[in-house]
This record gives sequence, structure tokens and C-alpha cells, in this order.
Amino acid sequence: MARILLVGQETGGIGKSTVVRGLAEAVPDAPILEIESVHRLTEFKTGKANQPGGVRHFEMRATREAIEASGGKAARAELDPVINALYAVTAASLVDIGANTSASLLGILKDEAPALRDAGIELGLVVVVAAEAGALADGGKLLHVAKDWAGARFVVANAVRGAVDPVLLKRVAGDAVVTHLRHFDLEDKTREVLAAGQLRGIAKLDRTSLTKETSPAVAGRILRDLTAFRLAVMEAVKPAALWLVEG
Amino acid sequence: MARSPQPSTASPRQRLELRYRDASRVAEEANAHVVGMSERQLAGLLRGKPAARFAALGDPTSPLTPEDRAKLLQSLEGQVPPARPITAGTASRLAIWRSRLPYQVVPWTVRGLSVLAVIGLGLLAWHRTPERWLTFTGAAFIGHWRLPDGSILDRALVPNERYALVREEGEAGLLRLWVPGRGYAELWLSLGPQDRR
Repeated sequence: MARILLVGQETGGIGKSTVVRGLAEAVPDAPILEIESVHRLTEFKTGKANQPGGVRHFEMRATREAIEASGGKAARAELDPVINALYAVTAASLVDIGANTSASLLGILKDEAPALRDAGIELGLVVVVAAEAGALADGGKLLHVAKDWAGARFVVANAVRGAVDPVLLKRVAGDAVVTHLRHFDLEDKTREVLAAGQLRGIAKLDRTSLTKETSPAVAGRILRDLTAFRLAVMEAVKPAALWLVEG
Repeated sequence: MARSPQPSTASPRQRLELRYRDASRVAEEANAHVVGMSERQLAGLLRGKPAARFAALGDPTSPLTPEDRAKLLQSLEGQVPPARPITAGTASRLAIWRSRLPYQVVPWTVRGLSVLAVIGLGLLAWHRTPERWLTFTGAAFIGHWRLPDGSILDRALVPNERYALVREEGEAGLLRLWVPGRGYAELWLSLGPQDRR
């Protein structure tokens, strides 16, 4: 049975794409469906359906207001290509659901999940939360919507905005598997290198070139911090990655 | 960065675990490289002079880790050069004189002078405040008032008008009168028994 891992969160800017990238490092052959207003996963090769390691972008309206303004049917029609792509999945795949789209898509999948299961496709959900009331509340809603049809549910508590309150986290996550991603305070140059290649680029970094560009000390710190960051993200998504490949 | 060879017969889980081991190894190597570079730098600095160690602490490109930076700082305890003595060759006479003053002598002097000024102003106010008001009965008479510039002003003392009695000395009393444009005029006057306190 092919498994699809959906990564969602209605609130933007709390590390959802980082989690998708971490999953792509753990399972590099997994095709990625990116459902976003803007194509962000630019470090992956743009692929056709089910191309291993490739990303396929589905453009969405940028805001919740724009989606609602289009009317329920139009919003549903906007997600039709995504649903069709899910039916076409043949191997472990990742779905990066952009902000303001997760609730709409998961609402539709509630109806589609049984048919997908019949087609040999199982859905799992990863929700990213941070120390922000909106993100925690949205995360709880998404987990609740998927409770009846998701084969597995995971929560990544990202400390990017401070430590997530453990009591609130437990209330939001319920019986979902919870992992933590600690906050990394990266130097400016390190951020620059990360932005250029993202997690996929870290494995390709060359010490000699970095040293020429900066200095031995700075290059050493960049490599140390970025490899530690990549490992931390991979560790945070490990339970979900294991579920994905064991289908 | 070298990756471990992935056997074709390995299960997806085994391949995934291998990728995690690779990521962990790469992170450890990168960390070990930084730690090693820092340790070598620290060892060299500890063999050198304190001045070089101070310079390394202020160098933003130094490869020292925070831990080694702390060790370097610790090694400098007691190594701070003594303060340069103030001598005639390095400072003005005023600076030398000030340097020999007791600790905080200036602020304490300022406070002392402030207290004295407050007391002085209080005494002046008390001295200038009239003791009471005086009123005459009977006929008016001319008084010879002495102005602040020493000149004499002849002005009548009018019955039933109030005059400020500034001071009493024996049977005499000092009256004070405001003369616009000229100041306070004063007049010594014999007081009757009924006017004395």
C-alpha cells in the first residue's frame, strides 16, 4: 500500500517547509506535491507525477479570504488537481500543504480517504506547531479533522518561537506522536548559506570553497551549525519518515 | 561529504536508518573539526603571552568555541597589567593633586556646602521676618527712616496704620517699611510699655 504523508498547518512561518525538507532528506526518493500560492521548494527538481525526488507545484490562492471569496465549489474545484494527483500516487510521497489551504484540503480528504484506501493509498498527517496561540489552535483542529481517516498522525513542536507549553501541546496533540525541533540561533552568514541551498544543499557543502569564501573558522562554524540543524530536523521527523517507508 | 554505500538488498527502513547514521556522522565530524581547531588555537595561545590572549578574545574571526573562550579568559585572571602610575610626566599638577584627594572628597564637599547654604538661607529668612505688626494711636509724627543706601527719608507714621516690627532691643524697636524703587527703610523707635512684649 502506498503511503502519503501530508504536512500541514494553517498558520504560516512556523517551519512547515523545513519539516517537509527534513522528510525529503530522510526519504529522498519520495515525490513531493507542493500545494502553495508560491513555489518554494525550488531546490528539488521539478518533476512530473510520481517522479522520485521531484516536486510538483499546485498553485493555490494566497489567502483564506481569496479562497472563501471564490465560493465553496470554486475552492473545491481548485483542489481537484491535487485530489487527482493523490489517486495517481504509486509510492511513498510527501504533500506540503501551504498555509490557509490545510483545512480546506483535509476537509475534502475526509470524504476521499475511504476511496483512496480502496485504491491502495493510505494517508498520514504531520502537523507543525509553535509557541503561538493561532498555530496551536489550528494544529489541534487539523489533527481532529484527520482523526478518523489518517493512518497515523504526528506533531512536530518547533521551538522557532520559543518553547511550546507542554500542557497545551499535550492537549492539542492528543494521541498523535509528538517530536520536538529545538531552536537554532544561526549566524547571518550561516543563514545565507542555508537559504541558498536549504537542507538538500547542506550535504553538498564543500569546506574548501566555504573557507575561500569566508575563513577557516567561519567555514567550520557554518558546517557545524548546518549539519547539526539538518540532523535535528531529520530527527524531528523520524517517526513520520519511518511510517512513510514502512507502507 | 561521503555517504555510506547503500546495499540494494536493504529494506526501506534499513536505508532510512543508514541515512540517519550518515547525517549524524557528518554532524559529529563537523563539530569535531570546530572543536579541534579551537583546541589547537587555545593551546597555542596558552603558550603565548597574555597580550596575544587578550587580542584573541576580542577577535571576531577567532575559531575559539565559547568553552575554550571561557578557558582563555580564566587563564588571564591576575594577568591584567597594573594601572600606569600618575606622575608629573604623565599628568598635569591639577590631575596629580586630584588623584591624591581622599576617595569621594568632591561629592562629600558638595553635599556639605549644600547643607551649609540651606542653613544660612534659613537663618537669613528668620532674621528678615518681622516679629509682629505695630499700630499707633494718637497724633501722627514724622519718622527719620534710613534707606539701604544710607540716606534718610522723612515720612510720617500714621495712627492706626500697621507697621512691621522687625526686632526689639530694650525699650526700642526697629520698624521696617517698603519704599518702592528704593528698598526697605528702617527706623528705630522708642516703644511704650503697651507696645513691648
